[in-house]
Amino acid sequence: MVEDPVTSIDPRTGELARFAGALAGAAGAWAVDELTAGAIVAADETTEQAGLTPRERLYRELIRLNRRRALAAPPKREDDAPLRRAEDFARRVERLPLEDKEALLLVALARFSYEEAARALDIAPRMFAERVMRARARLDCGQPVAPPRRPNYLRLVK
Amino acid sequence: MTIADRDLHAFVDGELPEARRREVAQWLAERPEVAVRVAAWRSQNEAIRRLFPPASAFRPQPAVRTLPPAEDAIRDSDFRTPARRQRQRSANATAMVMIAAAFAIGAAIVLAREIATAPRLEPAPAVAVATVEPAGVAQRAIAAWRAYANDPTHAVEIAAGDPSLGEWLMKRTGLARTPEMAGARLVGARVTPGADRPAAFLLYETGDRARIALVVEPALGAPPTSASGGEIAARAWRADGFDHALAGPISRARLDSLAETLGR
Repeated sequence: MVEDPVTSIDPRTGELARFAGALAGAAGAWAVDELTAGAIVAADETTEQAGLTPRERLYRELIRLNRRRALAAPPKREDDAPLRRAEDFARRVERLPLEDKEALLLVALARFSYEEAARALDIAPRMFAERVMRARARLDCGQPVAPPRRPNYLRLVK
Repeated sequence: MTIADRDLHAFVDGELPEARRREVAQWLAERPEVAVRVAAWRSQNEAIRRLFPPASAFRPQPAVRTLPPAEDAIRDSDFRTPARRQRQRSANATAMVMIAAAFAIGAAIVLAREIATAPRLEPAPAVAVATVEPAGVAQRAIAAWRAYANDPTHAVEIAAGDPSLGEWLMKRTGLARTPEMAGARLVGARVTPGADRPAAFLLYETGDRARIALVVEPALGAPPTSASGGEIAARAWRADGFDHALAGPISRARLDSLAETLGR
């Protein structure tokens, strides 16, 4: 059956847009739309990658595009302030260092296993677990945590 | 038995084999202070899932759906490789040919009966087929702009200075705050029909007297798309659980920059 390009929607869009919104929602709805559409196109155009399922490939592309966007965006001044106990949970998630946020969202929101998520990020499962633990420690309301650093994302995802 | 932090996190995320999971659960039962921490991590996972709207919020509305409903989790069958897509296309083409053939045979039988029973065929009445485009928030914003924006006396129901404006919009549309637009002043607001529930229609006026409408309604179905109609363009986006459309008789670039100030 011929699909109507106006009303049909890629079945991957919903879940991916949810993840993109969690990862980059602060950048605005259009950024989320662009990331979602860009990841679908990039994943479809990418030739088969050894050991990656289509779903892992899709999330890898989304994360890669978002890292590129994050590097291009000027850092916000408020990022230098430490997170505090009373701060809203959503803000705490938003302000997690990107690598830690990706890891936690892959597990908590996208429900990836550690192994799948590590493959999507192209890192060792042990390193992935470290990131999840770090993210949770930062979200833990017990203590103020250090300001997020600005890692070299491109080094980590090809 | 040694239980490391890593085991506890793996326990929360369902990563442990059953035997190890039981060991950790037993270990935690004897250490309530650690169990509290572990429960907090589990709560974090749940809180994260609650924070972001479910995937279904991005699906097209039933009236315009052309694909079968997707499960909340993406299935691998959704990720078709080019070869699988090609096979699917071939299957679709075959199905279409079969449907067309069945339709033609049916039509031929009906026609043959008509010819046999009626001595003279009346000319068939002309049938007009109307195609109805599904209207989105951008189209509604353009329509509302045309209806109200330039009304000299009643463009809005409640003027910007009225202290009841915010509460009224909140009650009627769920909009918690009246967005501020840099470079434009708020004229006032009214309530207009939305896709599902009432929408907030906020009217702004720029320094050069251009009137711009912002229509905000609860998010529904697929993310909204921008539109234009004649001299009016509308930029649409989704944010914070609402669909927004900014419409006015100005260039798209200027609409974009105004939308930026609203956090699109």
